Amino acid sequence: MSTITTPPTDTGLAARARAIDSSGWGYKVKLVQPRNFTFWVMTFVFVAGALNLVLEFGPNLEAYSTPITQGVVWFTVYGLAIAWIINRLDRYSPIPGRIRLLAFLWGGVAATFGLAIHYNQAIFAILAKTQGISFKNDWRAALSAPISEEIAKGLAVVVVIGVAPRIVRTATDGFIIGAFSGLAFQVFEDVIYVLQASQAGFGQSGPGLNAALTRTILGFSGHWMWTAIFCAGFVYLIGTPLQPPRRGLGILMMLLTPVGHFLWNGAQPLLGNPSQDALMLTMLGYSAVIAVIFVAFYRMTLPPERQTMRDVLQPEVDAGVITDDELDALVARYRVRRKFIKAAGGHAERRTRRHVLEATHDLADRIATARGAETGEVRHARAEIERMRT
Amino acid sequence: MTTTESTTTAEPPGEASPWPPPDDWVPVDERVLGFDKRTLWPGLVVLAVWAIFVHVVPAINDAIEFDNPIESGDVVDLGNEELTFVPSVDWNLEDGVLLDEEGIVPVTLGNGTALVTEEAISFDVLTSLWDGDAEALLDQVLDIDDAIETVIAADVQDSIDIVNADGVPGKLAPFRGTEEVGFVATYVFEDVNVNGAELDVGVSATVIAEPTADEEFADDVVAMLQSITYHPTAAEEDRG
Repeated sequence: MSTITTPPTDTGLAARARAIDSSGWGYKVKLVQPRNFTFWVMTFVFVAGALNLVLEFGPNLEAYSTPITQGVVWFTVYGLAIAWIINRLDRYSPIPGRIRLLAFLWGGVAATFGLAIHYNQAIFAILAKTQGISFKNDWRAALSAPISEEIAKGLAVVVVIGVAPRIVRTATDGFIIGAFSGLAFQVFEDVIYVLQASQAGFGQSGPGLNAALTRTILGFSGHWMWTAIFCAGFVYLIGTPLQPPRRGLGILMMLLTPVGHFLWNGAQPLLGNPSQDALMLTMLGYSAVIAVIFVAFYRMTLPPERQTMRDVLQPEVDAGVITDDELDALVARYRVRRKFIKAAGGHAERRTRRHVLEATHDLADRIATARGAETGEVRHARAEIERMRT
Repeated sequence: MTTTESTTTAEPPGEASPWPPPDDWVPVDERVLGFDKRTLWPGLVVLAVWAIFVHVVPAINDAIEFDNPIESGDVVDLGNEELTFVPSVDWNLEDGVLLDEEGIVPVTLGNGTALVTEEAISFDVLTSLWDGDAEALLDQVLDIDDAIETVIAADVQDSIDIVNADGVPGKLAPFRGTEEVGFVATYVFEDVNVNGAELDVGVSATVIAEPTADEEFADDVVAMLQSITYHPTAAEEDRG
């Protein structure tokens, strides 16, 4: 455990110190930890997943180079776009870059190729053997992925708690970690779907492109949203120093994801094989519902994050660096923040307010990274706010 | 050392160290077998899931026999109940939907697959929309088929012409590996009605026989190959 280097001199600074310490904001993560048991298990599953990934794609690289390349290029762009959205959602005490990367790689390599693929293939075969091939064809996606994939992707938050417990302090932290894990799972799975569609189409790239298009449209409200909800639910379930357990809510969120995934994967047989158009419309409607649920849960997780931001910046209000209104806007919802910026008046004033808020965000980040100490970087960040006003 | 000593002596006994420990410091009383015991439970959770997903569930699958023998009169639907093939009796159906066992989601034209096996022989059928003739499809399948890759010893023989039971022409290329032998056969059914559009549907059958395969099954294989036919429902109604 580390200690805060700046001695608290008044209640504001003491609250700041407590907020930084309890939130883990600015904590520098060291990934290689020989005494950490989770580190070794994680490494093992990563290696197993990476080997399986090579076995899956390696033999196909030559024969299916075109669809694989198309899938990789397209879903990289797609993945980056969604990663940008997730970064925007992580606007208060952000998850360190290497933990985001860890969660992403967990979802893409370990969860997909190290865990879920083995379970899914075995379940497909068990269904065919015990329930018949037609039943397997109808229900295999609905009866495998909701369990295996939600658990495999969701383990990202368990892994991060194991290797960097100070990072996972709020449900929002779980939400962001889950979103990255789910996103990577989705991206890697999409490339597999493109490959499989091409394989089923005698290696032609047309079926692969069709699969890519469908996955793109329907994938927006996909794995990344479900896993975000699952991982936030896990944080509620176990609780942290900053987030008292809310076990009922946590279990509800963790159960909601496999149920939602089941309804998604089983839509075609559940609806009695509707026409393609009707199915597409239904799925688009369901996507919108998922997005609404996702946003609602995200908002629900935010209060502790906002309080941390408030505690870190309150001494700056006391010192006159920023105003109460600016702090209120910084920790407010998007609409309130936009209203605050618009209320400035002319274009230049609105721009100033926007820049001041952004610069204040930078200052909070520097203060947290310095663990509350008055460093050159903190002073510079503070001077930048002043510069934005002039 | 002087500083440390003076600091140590200045601290009353039992007080916490004034030095912040490194972030990865693991106190002695928090270790189990050298590991930080606080990191045990997440690792054990991951390990348990890995064991279930990678070993337990696949072991359950391995313990269940795939016993799905073809009976007389069974016909496999390769698409829309119009593209079909008749597997030989007593072969094991491992993939493919029988006409009288259709599920909720039917097999559509261009998406049908089937796999039947008999001890040391596998008969694997794949269908897809295909814009080209049977020979082009044969070349393509020889290029990409994983199953052939694993047995092939660069000894694909010249292709020969074949016909199905309705006289639709196809192509067949035998191959010989270091142990297994087999062939790829292809047909292309032209102007098939796929969701209202007239398209061509290609069918490939990849047959691989291990050295222990009994020659008596050769007749079964030929019969199955010829039984791959397309009978549009509308045409039957017209005939009716």
